[in-house]
Amino acid sequence: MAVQGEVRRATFVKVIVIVLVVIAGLGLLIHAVNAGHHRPEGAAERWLAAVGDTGRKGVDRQARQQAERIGPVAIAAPILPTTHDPHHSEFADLEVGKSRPSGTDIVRVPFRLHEQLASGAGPLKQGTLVLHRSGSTWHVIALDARRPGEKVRSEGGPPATRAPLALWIGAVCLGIVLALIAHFITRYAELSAQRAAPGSAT
Amino acid sequence: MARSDRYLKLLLILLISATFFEGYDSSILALLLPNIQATFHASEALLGLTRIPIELGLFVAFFLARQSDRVGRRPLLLWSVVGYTVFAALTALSWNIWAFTFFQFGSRVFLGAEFSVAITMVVEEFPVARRARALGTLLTFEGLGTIMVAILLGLGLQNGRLEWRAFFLIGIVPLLVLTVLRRRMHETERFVEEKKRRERGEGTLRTPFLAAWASPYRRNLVLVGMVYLMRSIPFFGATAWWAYYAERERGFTETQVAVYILVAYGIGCVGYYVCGRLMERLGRRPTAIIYFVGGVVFSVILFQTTDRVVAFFALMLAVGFGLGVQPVLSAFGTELFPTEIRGQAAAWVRNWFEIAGYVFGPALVGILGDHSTGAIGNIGDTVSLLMIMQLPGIYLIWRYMPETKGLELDELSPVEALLTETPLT
Repeated sequence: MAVQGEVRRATFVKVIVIVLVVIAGLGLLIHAVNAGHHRPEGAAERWLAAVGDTGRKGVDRQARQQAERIGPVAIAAPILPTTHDPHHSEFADLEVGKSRPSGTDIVRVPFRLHEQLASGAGPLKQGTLVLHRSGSTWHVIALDARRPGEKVRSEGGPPATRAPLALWIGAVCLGIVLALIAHFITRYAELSAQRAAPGSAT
Repeated sequence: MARSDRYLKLLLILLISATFFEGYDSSILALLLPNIQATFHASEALLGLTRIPIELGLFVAFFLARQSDRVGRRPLLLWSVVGYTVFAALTALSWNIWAFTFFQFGSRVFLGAEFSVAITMVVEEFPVARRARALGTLLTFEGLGTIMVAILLGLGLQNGRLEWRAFFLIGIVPLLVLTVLRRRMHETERFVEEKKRRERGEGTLRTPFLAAWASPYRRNLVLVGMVYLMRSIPFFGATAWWAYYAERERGFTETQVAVYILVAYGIGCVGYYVCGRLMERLGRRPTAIIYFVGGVVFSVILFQTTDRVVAFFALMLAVGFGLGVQPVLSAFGTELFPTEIRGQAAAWVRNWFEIAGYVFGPALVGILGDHSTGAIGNIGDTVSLLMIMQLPGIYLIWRYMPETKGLELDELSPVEALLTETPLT
């Protein structure tokens, strides 16, 4: 006995193609909205993470290359532990705060981390990275002591980035639009199923 | 003839290995990634790339799981356990990152099929009065699988001679259990009846690939599929990124993250059990709405608060509601479809719609929340904003989802399923 109202393969393929086109479209949209963002906080964090991995077995060489692209690893000497477990990063944790401008194309990014010793988490290290913009990329040029008011989020400082209110309102609107789309898809599936059912007028 | 209590208990114990090892296996990859990375000298980008074929194993599992409507639930479950065990053991023997990826892919194929069949067997074998609770109990073990990995990590299993490989060797346990107990497991009565019907010429021997999309079931498949999709994208985005978010945006140490996961998951697992009980008392729809709303609210609190005490309770409740909703979702994915296509419908919902969340949820959060180049620029806000995607799911449940509380599977006719349900008031 064949299943009543069975879907044709061609219809299924069409739906799959439509879904893939929608996914590709969303991918392009996301790529477009992401374009042009180059935050110094992200560069500072990547540099610190890569520096932390320079002493980690297996990934050390690649980490060093990655760090050097953002800034000289030698700058990090004062915050690296003297001994550590090579199976782990040289930092047990890592957090960066919001950047503050400090001259033309120069910003200061506060950070907070714990050294990773062979025996576990080591002493707390706090400081500020100084970054310089060349073109659209940021480079670490110095390690400095913190100035008053330079704090990371867990110390009560402002978040490195914050989604604007318009984005939250937009997301709620998008949620409503998605609910409407889901409503119409469900109704369409219902109606198409009723049309395909035996004994229907069509 | 109804199954005896003793048999149902035994069946539940046998099926628990499927859900337990799904939670266990997924968590190994999440929590031991740095160790695996160090063994194979792989970059983070390469590790990210290998996650795609690994997770696509769950998609391929669809093609295996749908065979349960043809060959039966029992043989497919038993062979899936064998397949999972073999690939778990082979993963432990991986010699490079590509061997590791291939063996994990194979492991996901069988694990995905095993999980789908386990849910179908519970739905088909347990009487209506105990079905929801059985689903709740079964799925609680998915969370316990995660806790087991955290406990073994705490005990330092990864520091032994076998390092992370020892975790995968534990995957052999289900085969040992099944070797002893397999003869006591029977084919589900509903499948046996369906098989007899087919032998009498009243049904097709081979279920067509698109049978679940046929007009009598299409509306429910689209409906349940969209609810799964809308939940899975933000949910898997949140679970994949919470540890990273806690460390990089809230200053947690690795140890604090491990303790939070262990304790909050441990207590949060009660959510599965409570869900099973609520499904029986309140019904599927109200329970699902309560859990979806709870999941959204506590996830947003978790990804916004800077207070660690609030974060702990928010994590516990987000796990309780977010993961704990699984029993009611599994009920939607199986109870609304007749026996001859139930396995296939469940596989469509889980391995097509839900897999989208596995693949796209973490990717969306990573791309939009990238601290350097993301449009939003932080993980906390990105996850919170994505949670709004669950609103359409809540609306669909409220407006369209049929209520199956107190109904035996035989009472759910396809015609009923086509009717638009009255919204909850």
